[in-house]
Amino acid sequence: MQASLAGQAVLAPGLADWAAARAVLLGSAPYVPGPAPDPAPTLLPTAERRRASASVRWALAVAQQALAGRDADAVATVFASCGGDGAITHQICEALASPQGVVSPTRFHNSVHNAPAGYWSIATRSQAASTSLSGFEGSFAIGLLEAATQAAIERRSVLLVAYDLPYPEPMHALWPVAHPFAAALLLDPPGSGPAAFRLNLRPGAARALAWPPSIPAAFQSNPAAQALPLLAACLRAGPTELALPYDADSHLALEIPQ
Amino acid sequence: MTPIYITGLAIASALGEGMAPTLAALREGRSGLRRNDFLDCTLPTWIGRASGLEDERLPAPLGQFDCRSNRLAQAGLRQDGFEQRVARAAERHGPQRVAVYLGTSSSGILEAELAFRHRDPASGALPAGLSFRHTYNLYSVGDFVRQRLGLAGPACVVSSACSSSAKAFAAAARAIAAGLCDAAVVGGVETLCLTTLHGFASLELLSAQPCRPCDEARDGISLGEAAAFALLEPVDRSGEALALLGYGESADAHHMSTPHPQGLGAVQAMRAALQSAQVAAQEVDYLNLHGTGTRNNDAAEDAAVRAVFGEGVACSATKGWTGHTLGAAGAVEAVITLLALRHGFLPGTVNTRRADPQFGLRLQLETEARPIARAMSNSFGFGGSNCSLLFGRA
Repeated sequence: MQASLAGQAVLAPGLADWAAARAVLLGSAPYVPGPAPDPAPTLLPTAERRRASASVRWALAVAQQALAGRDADAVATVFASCGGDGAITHQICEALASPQGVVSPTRFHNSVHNAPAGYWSIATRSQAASTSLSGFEGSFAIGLLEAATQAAIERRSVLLVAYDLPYPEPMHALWPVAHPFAAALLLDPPGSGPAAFRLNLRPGAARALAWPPSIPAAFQSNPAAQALPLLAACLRAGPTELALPYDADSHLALEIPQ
Repeated sequence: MTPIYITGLAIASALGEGMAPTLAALREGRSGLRRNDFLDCTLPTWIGRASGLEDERLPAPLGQFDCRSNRLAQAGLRQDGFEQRVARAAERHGPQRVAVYLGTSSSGILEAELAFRHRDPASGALPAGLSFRHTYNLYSVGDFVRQRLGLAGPACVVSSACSSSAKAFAAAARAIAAGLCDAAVVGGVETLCLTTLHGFASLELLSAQPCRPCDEARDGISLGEAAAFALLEPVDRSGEALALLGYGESADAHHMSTPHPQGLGAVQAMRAALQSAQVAAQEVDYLNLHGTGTRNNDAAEDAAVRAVFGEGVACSATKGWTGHTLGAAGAVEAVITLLALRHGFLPGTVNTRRADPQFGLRLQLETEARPIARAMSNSFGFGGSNCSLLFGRA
């Protein structure tokens, strides 16, 4: 399986956009911790803006940046997230445990894992196919393989959006993600661009993770941040191989030629 | 697309465990819905509850996965010799060449819902023993099924509300076409939970009666739970020549919980499925509607079906039998559609008495014996996520 990287975006505390992330990954600027960004859902119609949760806003912000002005209607999307919207899960579970047990209708329709995909299609008017998936710690690699497969088989460009925001307590204790993170990668069908890389699912857990040295290790607790080793490898001169966590017994091997 | 053969099927739902009770209920017009008796939930509605899950036990090495969702998955996998067929596929190709593509909208969220009732009064902490990874994470059911079947190929849990497990078929078909795997276990697993019961109640979409899709007096859905699976292989090993011929996916780009009134996204998905199969609309003999029983959904689907098929195709909605199984609905209705192809009948629309006179689609009210060659199944979900699957003999 091959894929061609045509655009990317990153959003995280201390990494406000791709330019900032690129500089840190290249080592030309240090990583400086900062507050979590709070992206505005400018893409959405006013009526939907109020309803969009933080995870929707994060996903849309990187999607918009990585699309870089292309026609959204011609680009399929894959949204990959391990935990979806923990804030909404928390609010619903709390409401259900209360004596009234009443769930807010807006919260309920926002609780679906494909909420960012729904808001993306409303914001861009794109009727292109969209897949939302989860793969625990392998969510990024599973999303990447799905996006690359779609690009290769359907011969269309695919925008992969990976995001995870820390759950609030008490669920945070059971899944302690340190920092919010979102990234988007625009993949063109193989053969249509120079920046091609090869993907192979291999047996065995990923052993040594090629974690970019300039990025704090705490980000590894966020499955979406597995985008960073790939983006770092794409910036490096010369061929690189790296392994991304996929499942307990397999990893996604990536070969980046340039 | 090149047809991909269905070499195994399995189902567990409110109609019972396995193909035989499912087929009998469809033929005899016997609904699996009952008055809501789920846990302590008192909402006045009807549900399609799967029996026996309280006594279902997971094998010791997978004990951490214990929750209603994975119990239901296991009950489904056990049916109709499915596990044996998967084992033979794994022997043939190697376990790393057999994929697992499942759909669910809620996985084991029920565990978290119940745990929130027992938080530590001082610290707010959740009770010990609750595992995110093994229960209320969406991937839990994928991880469990993969380990239960001893598979190590590509795995993915699609979660796009009510289109989830239909889209799992599309994703698996692509994975096979791309050479990522030589066979794929596809399916959907969804259990009843309080989020969906109270959530649909808050949207005023739960009927107080057994749901009546496309009826002039329809007034909402009945929720259900089910696990349904299919084994997909590029070579026909069953001798039945039943195959996935095409799939189509689209987005409504309209609203988070209301379909486009003319069903534009649904039209696109159905046309894409026909196109990928290179089959003309008039060559389709049966359409299993998404048909939930809400005023808006059924009306929008009627408009979409008319745009694609005119009045030329027999349509029915089978959620009156199983309830709306949300993330599992695509797989449940794929199994029902494949049963109709295998045994030569048009499923009816149980509970529905009089088709909405405003509708133009040709609604099949009673189950009727008739050989069919090609059949489509529609699945449309919140967020405007649409998927249509086309099955037939290849």
